[in-house]
Amino acid sequence: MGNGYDSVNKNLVWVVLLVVMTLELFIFTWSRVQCTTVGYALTHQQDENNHLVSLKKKLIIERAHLRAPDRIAAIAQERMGLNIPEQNQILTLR
Amino acid sequence: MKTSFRTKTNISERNGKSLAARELAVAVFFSVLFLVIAGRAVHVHVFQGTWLAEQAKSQYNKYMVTCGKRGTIYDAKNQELAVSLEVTSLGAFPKRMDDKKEVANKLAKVLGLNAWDLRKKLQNTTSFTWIKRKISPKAVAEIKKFKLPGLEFVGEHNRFYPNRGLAAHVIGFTDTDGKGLEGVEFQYDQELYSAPDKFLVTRDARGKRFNTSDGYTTGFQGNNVVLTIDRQIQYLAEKALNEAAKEFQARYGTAVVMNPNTGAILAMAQYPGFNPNAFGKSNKDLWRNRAITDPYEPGSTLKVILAAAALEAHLLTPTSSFYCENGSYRVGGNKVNDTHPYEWLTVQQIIKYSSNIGAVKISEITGKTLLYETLTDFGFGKNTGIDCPGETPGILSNCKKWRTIDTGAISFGQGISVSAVQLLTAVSAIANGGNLMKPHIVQSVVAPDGTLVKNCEIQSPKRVISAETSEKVKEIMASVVAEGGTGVNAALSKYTVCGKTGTAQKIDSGRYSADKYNSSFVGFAPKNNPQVAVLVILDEPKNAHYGGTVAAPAFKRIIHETLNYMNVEPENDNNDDTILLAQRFETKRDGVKP
Repeated sequence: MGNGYDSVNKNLVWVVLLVVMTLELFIFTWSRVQCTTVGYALTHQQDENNHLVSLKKKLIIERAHLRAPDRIAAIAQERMGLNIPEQNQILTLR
Repeated sequence: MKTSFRTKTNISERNGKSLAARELAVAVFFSVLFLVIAGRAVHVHVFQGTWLAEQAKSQYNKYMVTCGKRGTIYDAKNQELAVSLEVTSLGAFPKRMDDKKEVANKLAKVLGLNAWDLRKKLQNTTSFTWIKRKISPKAVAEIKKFKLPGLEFVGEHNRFYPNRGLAAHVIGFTDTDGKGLEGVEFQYDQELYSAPDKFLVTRDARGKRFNTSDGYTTGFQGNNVVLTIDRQIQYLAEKALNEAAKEFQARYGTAVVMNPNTGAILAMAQYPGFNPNAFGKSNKDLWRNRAITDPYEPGSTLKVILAAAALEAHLLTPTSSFYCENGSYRVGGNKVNDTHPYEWLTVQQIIKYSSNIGAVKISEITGKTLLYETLTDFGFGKNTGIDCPGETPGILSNCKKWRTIDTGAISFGQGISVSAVQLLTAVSAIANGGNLMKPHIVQSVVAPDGTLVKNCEIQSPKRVISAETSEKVKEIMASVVAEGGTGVNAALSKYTVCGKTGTAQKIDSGRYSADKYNSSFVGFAPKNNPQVAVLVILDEPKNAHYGGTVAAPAFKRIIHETLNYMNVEPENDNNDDTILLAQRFETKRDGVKP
């Protein structure tokens, strides 16, 4: 009876060990897969960030181009009929 | 039965022996195999481990080299004047190509190249060769669709000037490899340039990047350069200069705007201009910044320095009188003429009416040594040290070599050559109370993260005349722009302008030409608190040649619009042009129409 109990205990230990080892194997594999997925996600996000930074730079350049004084002056003169005021057209506010 | 039992026993014994032998053989075989594997494993891990690890790394990790981004050039208000754009260049490894003819034909069609030349290039090169640098994104997309082997798309930067020709002579430009060739791009090449750098890229078995950026757009860049140039003032100066140059059909034109209190250049315009985005299409002669590189005879604008020399030495006062010989005076065998004949003129009137004979008479009082020393003190004959390439020191020979006529001629600005920036710096010293400032075009150099690398604004001024002399010369210069003066066309109603006209004959085939002139006007405003100093020069104007007629109106326009833009309070405001806000609100509150 005592021997049978010991044998059951021994088998249980082996089963538990086997389950733990298997679980460990799964957890390890899962974490590696997660690592790889996160790595690819990081690369994707970095690329996205680079793309946005690049786009921002292009927009800054576009803004500088659109704000060029000769362009603004041409629009003011041709579309709105504005001119740089003459001396007698300027009033001083105090 | 007995026999058969014995036979069975023998067979069984034999079989048992054979099985044991086979078991042993299998055990030995597997043991040997295991030992071989274990040995190999030990060999691989212990003896070849490091080498193999390096090999694996080299297959997955690769260092990529990318060229750094050139720093940005900003104006004084942090508006972009020169920027770097990310572009793609196309290269090829002809060895990896199967059908070079097909590749050449397809690429030539998209890139607008000659197919035959491209094919020859691919056939004659074994290693890497460039197909075309800096191609359009559309062309890149089209070429990628072909999926041709042996092609390499390389990320590069292209310099772009968003304001096109604005301040092109000051900013300069770069070559295809991003090296500064002219202007600030050349002068500050080291600061703007970013050396190529390498970065690690990890790829998986399928060549896909893993946990690494492409390192291209996030990359490093050179320092940024902030100029003292104000884009708006530059535009105003260029516009006024272009219109004046076109009106008088001048060969060249230059206009420089300076802050007389700091020496900061606010604008430096030149006519004709060029587009730095396509500098190769313009004449090389147009690239240089004439305000810095070209010496010219300043003519009568130099008379203010002569007056400063005489007043500073207390040899004369503004009211000292000279007989101006009715328009013709003989100096050392040469004749000096005035445009209009004058009899007696004071020092102030000599400058106001720009009498050459009067100037010669003043120089006879100062003597050549004092005149030479004053000119040298004001910075003529040597570089100002402005941070632009190719500065000319001008031409001012030692006074020991001057003949009598040389002293006379130099007194009214002939026989001496100066650069535009030299003259404006000297006049700025008169404007600011007698301090000669070092002219500069760069305010600061800033790192990409915004930290200050170099501050170029701190200058130690050199006192060249006293504040008292400065005030006297300012009074004289104000009279030039007053009614009856040669510079009346430069007068403003709300500010007192101080100025001086200049009309210098040009040397043509070794002699002073009768019809080629340099017309100029230099001055500053407001008189009591000068904020802006301007010099306008027009080379070989047609139809008119007096500085007061040709250059003064352009000067007036530039200084009026600049003061207006800078919100400088008017000096001579009459009450009709002033609205008192407090009074206006009070009137409104009381229900009376303002």
